[in-house]
Parts: sequence; structure tokens; C-alpha cells
Amino acid sequence: MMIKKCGDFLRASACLVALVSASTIAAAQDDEAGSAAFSLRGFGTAALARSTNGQAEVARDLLQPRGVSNHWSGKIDSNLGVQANYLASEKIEAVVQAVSRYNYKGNFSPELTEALLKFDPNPFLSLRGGRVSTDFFMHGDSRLIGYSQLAVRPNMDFYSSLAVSYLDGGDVQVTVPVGEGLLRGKGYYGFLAEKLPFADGNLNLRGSRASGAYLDYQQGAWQWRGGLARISFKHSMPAPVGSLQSALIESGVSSAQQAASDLELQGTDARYYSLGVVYDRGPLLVQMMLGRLSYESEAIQDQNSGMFLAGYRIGEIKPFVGYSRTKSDASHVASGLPNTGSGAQINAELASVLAESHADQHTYSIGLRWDFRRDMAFKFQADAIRGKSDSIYNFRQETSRWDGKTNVFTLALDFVF
Amino acid sequence: MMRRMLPRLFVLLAVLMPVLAHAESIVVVANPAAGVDTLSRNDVINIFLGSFRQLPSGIAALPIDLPPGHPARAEFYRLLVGKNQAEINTYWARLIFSGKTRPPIQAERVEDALSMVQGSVGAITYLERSKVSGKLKIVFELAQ
Repeated sequence: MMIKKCGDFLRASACLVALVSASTIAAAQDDEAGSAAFSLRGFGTAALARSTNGQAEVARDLLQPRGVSNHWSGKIDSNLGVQANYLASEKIEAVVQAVSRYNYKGNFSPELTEALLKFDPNPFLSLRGGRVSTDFFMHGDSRLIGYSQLAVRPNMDFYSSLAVSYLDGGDVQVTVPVGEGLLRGKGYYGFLAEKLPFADGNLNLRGSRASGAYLDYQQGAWQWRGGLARISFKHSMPAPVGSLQSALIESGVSSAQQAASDLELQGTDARYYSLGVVYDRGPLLVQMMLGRLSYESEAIQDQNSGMFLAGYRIGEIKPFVGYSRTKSDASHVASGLPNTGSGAQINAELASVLAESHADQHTYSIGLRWDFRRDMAFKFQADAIRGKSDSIYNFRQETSRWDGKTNVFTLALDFVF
Repeated sequence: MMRRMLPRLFVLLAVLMPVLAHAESIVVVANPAAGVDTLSRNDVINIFLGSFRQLPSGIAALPIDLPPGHPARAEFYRLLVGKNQAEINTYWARLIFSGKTRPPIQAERVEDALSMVQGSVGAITYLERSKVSGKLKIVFELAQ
């Protein structure tokens, strides 16, 4: 299985390298014409991770159908991204980015993560249209760029349920000097284009409307941010939720039909609330974030998360420590069907669906980042995940012996070019 | 207490003097036509780190970095925000690959950076104080 995954990654990487070569030739031709308007860059991570508990697989986020357990695997964190920028004028820029990573299909087929036109008419205003990266949570738009982060990956308790990477639409950013600092407001609107693995099928987010805004104040080494985002789901949950809904409706009992309606995702909203503070000056970096995800549908549990990360650079090595916590609110949906015969079967399926998105765990992390040469960083990280046995949202293939506790060890090489 | 401390302070100063004298301050220079007398540290940070690129005179600022590996470049960012080059590159990786701000233009040689500042009214760069010519205006100084 792992060899197959690596094979996928190598094939996808080869495609991206071919793209790089083609673009480099184009860039060279551009340079000969005396223009530096075109640039080609990239980023990537080669990482190995394993956990200490074979009773469940740890996934990096909701987009991954499988995770890692007690064998070393390069699957969850390795990626490769290529980005072309074209500066049409001082104020207009085009950006296209493709990334190969372990995705909802279970392979590394590259996807288009950015394809945008950016227009900055003046220093106060920036407009982007096309496929743009989303930052529902602070730093949420750089989750794939390992080199840009202190830790090996974005905190899993905090960011893993943030399933959206980009939207097709646009955003407007306004920056105004206020006092000694800068006040920045950003609003975005668009439609999602991704799919999430769910049970044996996919939850299709394609076409779901997304909108949001944040307000950010930056003064000296401090940056504060508060944000809101909303997704209006266009599609229903796939089986087994869909088939459970059908069974509830077919029972003819009104309380069961109400339960089926409570589980409906289509036409409901999810809301994301977030607060973040970052201190970044000299050798010290501190990040603190709080987030809440709230779903109108009872099919997915509401979730509260928080994270803390602090690092201090000594020479070229930056050790760090982190703590995070996530807990979801149990859904209370009852079918009202008697616990006998087909009613018992429906009730069991309902309980299983409601439990699927439950999370109740905290994680202690320790690690280091070593910038051993220009544009390259080596990282080591150990995470101790301590959760209840019913904390399964971030895990895959959990068995009945899963106790909610595991440790994850990761070695990563991050680079940009 | 103070009387006992003073001689020690003088000894410390005497030891440090050659070091202090050797380290040269880095200055930020602009085009004299930009209409800027001085910039604050926050202005310089906002312009070079891309958060707000406007000079106090209202002209759009165009920051220019010295070539990678140039000692004044590392010194500039160390004195400005206490960051080494790897940390500055990390910062830019986040902004570039999320399709946000562009980093400063990178000059291939110091002379190119200086001629860009002379040739463009909003352009600004930095260099060692002793290398400033009369055609450039010093708008900020980062003392050692």
C-alpha cells in the first residue's frame, strides 16, 4: 500500500517537474527578451511519520482518506507545489499554483490550488479574483507550505477540521495605518471546489457557497485577528448518512422523520469563528489561536479548538513546544423508534453516524526546526495525543480497541526553490 | 556600590570599543525627490516586509533588497526585526505561496540597487553608511 502511495507521489512529482522544466524554458525565453516579469518558484516537503498505536491511523486533516499508524510512512505530510507568477504591471499580477499531495482520492494527483489575478490599485487596497487560497483561520492559507511553518505541520487539533483550501471567487483587502500599527480588513466570497473522503464515498463541497471576513491589527511584533466564515452546503452527506436518512423517513414515524431532517446537510450552514494572536520578533515566535466550528446540521458535531505554539531560535536551530485541545459537542438526535427489530438497527446506525465526528483530546508537542542551509529546513517533532476512546474525528480505520491515545513522531525536510 | 561599578564599566567599554567602532551602522536611503525626510522603524518594517508600501509623502514605496549573501542584507534584517535570513525567507514563503504580497525586488549588485533608487522616485534600499553617495537621501538609520 505504502509503496503504491510512494509510486503515486513520484509520478505526480515527475509531472510537476516536467511542468517546471517547461516553464523554466519559457522563463529563460522571457529573460532573453529583457523582462523579469515571469517567475517560477516552488515548495515541498519530504517527510516520514509514524505513530505508536496500531489501533487507529492519524490523518493530517479531513481531506485524507487514510493516515499513518505504527509504521513509518511518507504519506500524510509529503507534498510538492509549483507556482508561476506573472507581473503584468506594477499593479497587476497573475498567480498559478499546482500542488501534489495525498488527497481525497487516496493518491497524489496534482490539483490546481491557486489561479488568480491580483490587482493592487494603491497601497491601501488589494483585490484578487479566480481560485484563491482561503484563510478561515489565521495562517490557514499556508497550511501546505511546510517551509513557512515552525512545526512539521499545522496543528492537527486546530486545523484538521478546516477542510477547505481554496475557493473560486474573490477577495478584497483593505489596509489602513491606525495608531502605531496597521488595521487590515479582508472579505471573501466564492464557491468551494473540493471533495472530502467520507466513509466509502465523498462529501462533495463543489458549488457550496463560502463567504467570510476578518479584522486584523498588527503593531510591532504583535498581530491580533478575529474572523468569521460561513459555508452554505449545496450537497447532502453521502451514504451511510444518506441511507440512514432514507430508513428514518421510510419508518413513517414523525420523530424519526424529524431526525432525518436534522441530519440533512444540504441547504444548511457551517460557521467558523476564530481568534488569533501572534508574537514574532527576534528569536521568539509565539502563536495562540482559538476556533469554533458550528454546524446547523446535526450530522457533524460542533467543535471548539485552541492551540499554543512557542519557539525560540538558538543559532540556526529553533526548538519549540506546543499544546492544543479540541472538543466537540455531542449531538442529541433521537429517532424515537423502539430499540427492537429494524428500529434497533436504525438506532445503532444513527448512534454511529453521530459519533463519527466526535473529538475530545489534547496534544502536547515538542520539536525543533534546523535551517541547515539556505531555503531548506530539517524538522523533528513528537506529538503526544491524549484523548478519550470516542475521540475519532481525526483518525481513520480505528478498531474497537482504540483508546484515544497515541504518539506521533515526524521527520521532515522542507524546501523552497 | 556605584563607585565600585564604575571602573568595571570603563574596562568593559575599553574592551568593547574596538568592536563597536568596527561595526558600521546600516542606513535606509531614498530618492531625494520622494519628499521624505525620515521614516520610522515601523514604516521601514511595513515597506520591506510588505504589509504597507507607502512613503509618508503618499508615494508608493518600492523596496529593493541587496543580493542574497551580501553582509549588509543580513545585518539590515537583524537590526530591523532581529531575524536571520532563514527566518525572513520563511516569512516570505508564507506570503508568496498564498498568493499575497511580493518580496522586495532583488538587485543583482549593490550598484544596481543604488541606480534603481536614483532612477525611481519611490524606490528605497539600504547599505552601509560609509557607502552613501550625495545623490541619495538617508531616511533612517539602524545603529549597531
